[in-house]
Amino acid sequence: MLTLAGLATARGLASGPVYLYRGDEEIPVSEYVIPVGREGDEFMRLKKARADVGRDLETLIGVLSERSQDGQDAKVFEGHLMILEDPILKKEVDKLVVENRINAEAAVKKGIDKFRKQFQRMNDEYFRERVRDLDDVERRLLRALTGFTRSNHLELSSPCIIVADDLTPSETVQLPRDKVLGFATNGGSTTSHVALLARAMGIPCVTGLGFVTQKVKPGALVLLDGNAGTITVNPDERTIADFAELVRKQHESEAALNDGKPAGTLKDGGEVKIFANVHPGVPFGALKDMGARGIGLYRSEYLWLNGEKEPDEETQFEAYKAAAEYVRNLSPDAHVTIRALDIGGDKTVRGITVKENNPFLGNRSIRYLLSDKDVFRRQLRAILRASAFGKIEIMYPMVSCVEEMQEAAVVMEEVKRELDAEGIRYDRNVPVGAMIEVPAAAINARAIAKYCKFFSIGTNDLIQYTMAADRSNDEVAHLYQPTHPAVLTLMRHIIRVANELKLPVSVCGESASDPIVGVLWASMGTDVLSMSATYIPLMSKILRRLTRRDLDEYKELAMSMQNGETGSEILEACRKWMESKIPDLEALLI
Amino acid sequence: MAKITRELTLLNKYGMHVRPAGLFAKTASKYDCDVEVEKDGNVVAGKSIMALMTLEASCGSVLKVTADGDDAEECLDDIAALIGRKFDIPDEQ
Repeated sequence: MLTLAGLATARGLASGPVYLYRGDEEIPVSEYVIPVGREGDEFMRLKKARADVGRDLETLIGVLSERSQDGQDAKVFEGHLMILEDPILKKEVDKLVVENRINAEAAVKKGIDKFRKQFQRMNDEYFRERVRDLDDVERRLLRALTGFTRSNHLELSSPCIIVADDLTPSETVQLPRDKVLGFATNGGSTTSHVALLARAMGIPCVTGLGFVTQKVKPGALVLLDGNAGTITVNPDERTIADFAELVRKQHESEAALNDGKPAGTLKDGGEVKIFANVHPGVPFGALKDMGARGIGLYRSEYLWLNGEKEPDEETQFEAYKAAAEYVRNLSPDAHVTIRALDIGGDKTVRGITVKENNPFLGNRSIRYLLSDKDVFRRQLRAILRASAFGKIEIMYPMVSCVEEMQEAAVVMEEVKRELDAEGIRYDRNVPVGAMIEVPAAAINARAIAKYCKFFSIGTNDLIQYTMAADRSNDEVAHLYQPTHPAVLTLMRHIIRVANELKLPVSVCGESASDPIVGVLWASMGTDVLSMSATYIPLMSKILRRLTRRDLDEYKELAMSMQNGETGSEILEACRKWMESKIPDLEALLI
Repeated sequence: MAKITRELTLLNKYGMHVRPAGLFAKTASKYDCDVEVEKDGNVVAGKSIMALMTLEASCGSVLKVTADGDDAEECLDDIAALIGRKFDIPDEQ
């Protein structure tokens, strides 16, 4: 029996046999000569890949040295970090790129090959084995450079727990979802794509396990605890019995919630609507089980990330139609809000997104769609056609100004005329809204509202842009504060404008699922909280303990703290208030 | 400017593998002086983990460590101490 500790990435308990998804397949690399004058760009690409890999390794080291018992695993990755930053290797590879104008992938391979040959010639077996460390660093670099995806798709015949070093977005979306009981990965991030997907699908997930792929054998029994962030390999009978008891308790507490009232019902009978955030392809069955009343965020970009190219209109239509048809099961007034292609930033699609100096301030989302209107038109056609089959809303991501809404409206009208001419049925009044996630749009919400039937607040980006801080960067993550007074001021403004104009407003950012912050947004007057399905039961439990009057009190508390208190002081006061209302809050969160 | 050479014997169980080489290079990199390491006629850069690993130095190997620069003395003291402590690796004492 072996217990490993990692990060609790997606809640839930699972047990089952291991499916080992290995990442040691060789990554094909082609070599070519960089045109004169472009070697500087190529060098930047190399540097960026190195920085990305370095950051991943540092995260992993941080997680492992905190969580693992002896810290040995972290030490190995410290070695990998040193290999990555080795001055001689660096110089060698840099020279190949800058002087010989060889592409970065081939340069990395050549540079490492040189050392690999030396190692392979060694007499001592122990030293020869160290070639694996080189291989590992090389694979990380090549993956960062090429976005390489394993070619052998998973073929699962029976349900199992996927154990992998890490999964790329396209690998994750191709998983046969009904066969995946849980995820356990070596990689360290809780914001990775596998994390997002696991939460959306309600599949328990533990990340940051370091060497789990080397420590488990295919088919071994694993108990995975996504609440505590641990996995137990080959458990003994007693541990299995304890785990079964844990599972029973969890079911019991979920059943206690099953009093026939919808998710999001308040103690006094009021309601905060809870919708789900989904990816295309996620089995919708889980949504009803978890209590979702609709789909508040349908991330259409995963249709692109899946195939790494644009899906044709039919493929898109089928996907949107499936969501529209399903959503009718959730509640009488349910709808699915389809977010138009949200790419750029950290979501890249080969052949569509280009390298930009500052991708988060670049040609993202609605900006991209307006710059490539054929893609936009095809997507709108597919969505409108699907609107004949169920209630659909369309929202545009990353809106900054009214001109974008105006320009998008023109395209929408053209597409509608096209469909009319072809005699195709669709919902003529399909509501169009804006995601409010750029501070400019938040401040200017009243003007943007003229072009909207609803607002959806994307708090991830709104907070990141307001605070100018990337929360995945450890050095500045402390600045990413959902309760910073500036963020609260913007949130209050957006919600007030929407309420005054009787425009429905939802929050679909990750903060919506946070028991402290999400409830705060609800108290401030948002109509819908939209979150990954896994988080719905927890949010329901919290809301079931509060009355509308409690929410008003909560809002007053937060609003009264706008006179010099810091974001963390406000958060702390909110937490204290919540604990005063729900004394066993701590226990609910476990 | 000082150029000093010392002969140091590796004492830890598994010799100059990833972690010891990493710690050696890290220690050497703290100093401005140039550091070279020689074993059986092979001379490599002392600030490179990769180069150090290629020495294939096992427990008992004698390394000729040469430091060249103003802080050569302190650098060699530091490296000698590290090797003497068997790189502080618990399993290899």
